[in-house]
Amino acid sequence: MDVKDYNACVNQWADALFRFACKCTGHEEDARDVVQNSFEVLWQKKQDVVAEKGKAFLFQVAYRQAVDTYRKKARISYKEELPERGLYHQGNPDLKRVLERALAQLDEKARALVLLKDYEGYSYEEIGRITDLSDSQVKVYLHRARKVLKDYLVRVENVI
Amino acid sequence: MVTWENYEEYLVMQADGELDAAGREALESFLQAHPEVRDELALYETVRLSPDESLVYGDKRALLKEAPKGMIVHLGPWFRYGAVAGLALLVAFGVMKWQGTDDRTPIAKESTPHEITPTAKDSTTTTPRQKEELLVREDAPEAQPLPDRRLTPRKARTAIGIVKETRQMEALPQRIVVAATELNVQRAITKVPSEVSLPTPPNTPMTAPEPNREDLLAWLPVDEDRKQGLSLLSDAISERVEKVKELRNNIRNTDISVSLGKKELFTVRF
Repeated sequence: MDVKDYNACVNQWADALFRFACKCTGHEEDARDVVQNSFEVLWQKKQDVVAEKGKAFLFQVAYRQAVDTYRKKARISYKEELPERGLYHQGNPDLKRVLERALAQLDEKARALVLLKDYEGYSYEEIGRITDLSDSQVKVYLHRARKVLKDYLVRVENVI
Repeated sequence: MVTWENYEEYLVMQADGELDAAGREALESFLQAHPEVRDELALYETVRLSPDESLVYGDKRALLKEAPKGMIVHLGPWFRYGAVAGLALLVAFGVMKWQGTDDRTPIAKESTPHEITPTAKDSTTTTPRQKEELLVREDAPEAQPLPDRRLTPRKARTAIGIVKETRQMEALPQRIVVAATELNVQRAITKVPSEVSLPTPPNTPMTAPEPNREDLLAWLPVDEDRKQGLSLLSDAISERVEKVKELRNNIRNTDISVSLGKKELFTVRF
């Protein structure tokens, strides 16, 4: 990867990486640090990374940093910021916002897997490479995560 | 096969688009048998997140890099070791080559008056061409076969310098050889082999006249400028030969060791 490829990665993937980091860390400033560090690592390793693998490399670095950051700071989840009951007072709760809240129920690893799957459309195999997990581990983590999200959505709908 | 124990796994994989054709077919059969499960599948397909496009990274310019102006070549430690070893090999090769050429330099060193002095039989039976070759062979290093052609002017100039250098050597008996060689080389240059004549067989110890460069130059059929040039060239070559000999004497009995830091790599012994 040369400078041109690197700059193309910045222009193409910085936003997606930032969104992913935001959802993983739950904090914009932390997400900004994650993005900066990820691109810094990519710049240092550009000789070893082919241009086609730039995105996967970035998300791999961002995933590790986001999980570490989340664990270090042990941030409070949305659940405590906004009680579930608050949604129902809005009368017509936005499904997207409900899912965002549901996402906060997941642990950092399951959340990252769901984001890689839903935001970036990676396959189980690609997610496994990014997160250093086996295909079956990815399948199990995602299965549990989907079940949590579905149950959360069902509970909300039942209340409504 | 899809069962009540594993149907949720199939539903999640179907929602994630990870089922292959056989899996999709098996799930469809299960759904046809149990239509109430379709609602659950719809829920799994609903709990898929979509990215918030309004969330963007604001300062991309700070992440961009400029192409370097010049080319920077980083040499790893092994490249440095390789360069040092290559340099040392070059030095060793050069010194060995000097030694090798030194063995061949003295033209008449291995010759003796007996070898170059033709007998009466030789002088009567050899043709002019054979005589010339015989004389020139005395000029050649070692006893290599002479190429079937005349000396070129360049070779002749080299021969003149070498003759001068040889003249300064202390081995007096060899002067005779040098004188004979000197004269006949010049005759070879003039391309008149028929006029080449061998020295007559000595009845008494040979007392060849002292070679004189001025006489030799005067004899050459070239103009004065060229003669002067030849003279200067001869001086220069002799000077170089002297320097090489001095260098060889200085190097002899000297060890040259190549070391990297405190580690000695190898030693060249002369």
